[in-house]
Amino acid sequence: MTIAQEEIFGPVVAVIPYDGEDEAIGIANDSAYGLAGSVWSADPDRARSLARRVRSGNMGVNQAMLELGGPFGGFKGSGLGREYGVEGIDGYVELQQVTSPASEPLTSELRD
Amino acid sequence: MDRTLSETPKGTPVGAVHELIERDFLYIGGEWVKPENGRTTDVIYPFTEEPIGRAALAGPSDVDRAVRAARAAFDDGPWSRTTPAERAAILRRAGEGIEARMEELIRLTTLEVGSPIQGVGPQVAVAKIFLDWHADQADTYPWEEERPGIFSSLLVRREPVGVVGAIVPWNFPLGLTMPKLCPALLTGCTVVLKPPEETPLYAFVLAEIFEEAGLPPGVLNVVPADRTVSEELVKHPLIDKISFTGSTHVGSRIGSICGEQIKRFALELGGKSAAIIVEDADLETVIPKLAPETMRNSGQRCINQTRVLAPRGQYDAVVEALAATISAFPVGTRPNERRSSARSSAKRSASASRATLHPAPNKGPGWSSEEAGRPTWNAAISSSRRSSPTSTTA
Repeated sequence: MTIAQEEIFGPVVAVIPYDGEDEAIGIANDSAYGLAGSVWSADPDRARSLARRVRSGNMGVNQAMLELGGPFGGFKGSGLGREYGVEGIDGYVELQQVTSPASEPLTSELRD
Repeated sequence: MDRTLSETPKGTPVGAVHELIERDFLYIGGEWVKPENGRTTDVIYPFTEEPIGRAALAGPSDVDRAVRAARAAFDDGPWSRTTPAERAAILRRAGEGIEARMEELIRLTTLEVGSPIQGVGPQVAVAKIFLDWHADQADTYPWEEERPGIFSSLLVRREPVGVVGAIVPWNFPLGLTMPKLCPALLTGCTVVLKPPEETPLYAFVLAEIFEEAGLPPGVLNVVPADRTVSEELVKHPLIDKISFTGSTHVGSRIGSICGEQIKRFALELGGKSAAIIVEDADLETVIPKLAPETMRNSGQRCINQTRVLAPRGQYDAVVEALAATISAFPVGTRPNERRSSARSSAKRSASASRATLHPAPNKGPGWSSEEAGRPTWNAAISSSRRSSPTSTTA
């Protein structure tokens, strides 16, 4: 159903019933997207175990907010690359290796 | 002279707007320049669709000029050759600039986006926090690592990726600009910022803030543009990386273009995020926390929890509690009032989602139930920019 699959981008929420944890994970992962998600439980350990099984870049346990100090981005159709956190800085650099014979160790110019 | 916006269809005045905000100049190479053919776009307060200002709109030659300015600033320096500490100092000064103009930025963003104001204040405050956080990373980021190689002595260096084209959507324009701009500037990149044509005004203020903070000319260039002209930015051979936040449809197009050119790209796209309620959860605690996360910013936020998964045994209780909570969300029009829902730029979002909606105008606000195997809707999102919060069973 469209409402349960496509991003509506309006104030609309779909409520979907499930039978058992495996089906809940199955429904959560039955999506072309994988951006965010959350698990709400009285048992945070159980919720965390469920969160690990969701193919999504940003999972909340008993909350649904981003931690901007960590990498944010999507699995699957939700994107490519990460923003925020140190990984967000990695997106703006090219890695370069500079080598010399092992007998002539290189030191960083930036080192004091 | 103050101008009062007319009554909204609901009869609620939105309050006074000062003189139209006129931003007829693009920011290119450290100068404020007229766009080719003097193109401008009207910026509207989406709830009433009344103009609040006017902004310069870039054409293809403006984009080319901006890219060349950024290229020159990167290739010829000094920015790309400054130390991380020197760049961090500029970021900190820009953070002070944000702080000094916070009220203005909050008001501007509230008006041009139409966002609930309680979401805009944090967005602007986070911009400063984020600048400071990146400045802090200058000391700890592994710019150069000495490593024992397998065969050689090895230095692993991190060089700026180069000229970055940053394309930002209208739903959180400032908030989504910063995670591109901060790391790009910290690493020594130069940037062509393409703010959305619907909400470009914040970006001119940002340019002024960075200019005052001492950012060298050409390091940040601001060119609002429509989709066709934006594609010129994506295609431009002098751009090294495109960072895009927006729809999956456009992201796919950008990825194809960049792929052909072996250009770097990053995409932050859509979502259909699931909130799983486990059967041991206390609904009285969970629903008040979860309900706002299903439709923040009038539902126009990529990480909204738009699918709520409920154990079958508690399904009716979840639907009832969610519907009751969502029905109580205030839907408002005043730029300065707290509300959950203000704007739906439905013209864009409905077409982007390609969703087929079935309006049920006789239903009250809140939620609607499945009828004859098809969902019904109480908000005709496809025909109105103003959408009432809706939940549906599926």
